[in-house]
Amino acid sequence: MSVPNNAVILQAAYEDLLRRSLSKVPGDLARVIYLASTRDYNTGTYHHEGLAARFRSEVAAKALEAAHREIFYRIAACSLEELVHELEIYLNSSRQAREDVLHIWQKLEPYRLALPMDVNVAVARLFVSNLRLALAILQRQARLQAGRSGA
Amino acid sequence: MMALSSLIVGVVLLLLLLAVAVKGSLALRETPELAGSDESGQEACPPEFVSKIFSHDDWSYVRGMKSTGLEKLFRKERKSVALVWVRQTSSGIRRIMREHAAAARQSSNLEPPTELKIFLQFAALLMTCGAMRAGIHVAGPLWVGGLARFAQNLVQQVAEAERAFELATREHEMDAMSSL
Repeated sequence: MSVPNNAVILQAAYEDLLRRSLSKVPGDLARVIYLASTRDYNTGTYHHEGLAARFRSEVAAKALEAAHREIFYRIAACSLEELVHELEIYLNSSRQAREDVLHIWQKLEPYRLALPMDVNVAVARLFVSNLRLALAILQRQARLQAGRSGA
Repeated sequence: MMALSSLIVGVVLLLLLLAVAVKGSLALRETPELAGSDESGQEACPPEFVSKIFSHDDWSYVRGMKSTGLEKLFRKERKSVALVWVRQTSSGIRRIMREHAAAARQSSNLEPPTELKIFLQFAALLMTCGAMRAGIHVAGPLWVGGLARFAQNLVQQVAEAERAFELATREHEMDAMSSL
């Protein structure tokens, strides 16, 4: 009987993560935020209870990091229009009031914590910059809508 | 008379370029997230992002909204991203130059025409980066997309040539060692 090598185990963990956890998260932006939240602020290591129980904790961490990086690059390559759509999906799936999330995201820019480690600085800057623009676009749309319904 | 007017035009252009360069360096200083970023050990910028940074598509989308505020924000944001990319590219070129100089110092079979060609490529790249920086400040990043793609291709060519040079130097040294 052959023992599966590390790459095969990592691939299995990655697919398990996509199937069980990430498929339930709506949109790539929400997935990036979710994956960043599995990373320890102090050590930078990723942790997922269920994935670590099915695979080893180091394998789970590597699968989480790979998924984070891949989805981040995918969303950073989106056009501004697509990113506005992604942000709308995220806001609609959030339990908090849309205006509150928009306000807090513009003030605190929490999405900066969603950047994977050692990502290219120009790509990171483009992602942050496009999110700022997407937030401003949605804020403006909300204002226009409020103006129309108030009139 | 002609010579004097050419001289005046030359001096004015030089002063303009100097002003743009000073403005650029001040803009980077005002943005700590850019000035303080450590670029060692990070991934290279994928080519598709270079086209994206300098593309007109997002600008057309923003213009369609007919909001001066959004247009202003877009220009400011994209300009700062483009300047980060130019800075990253020039520091990448300087790193390749340093590595090449170190490899050339150890090489015993330097070919002057090849070295001259490499030097000219480095000089062209650094001048392109300078022109892009000035272009981004004066006209905005959307107008220097062609230069950015040219620089990106040339950087890749120079990096590949540098890797080939290092390999050849190492092989030559191994041959020399084994023949002793």
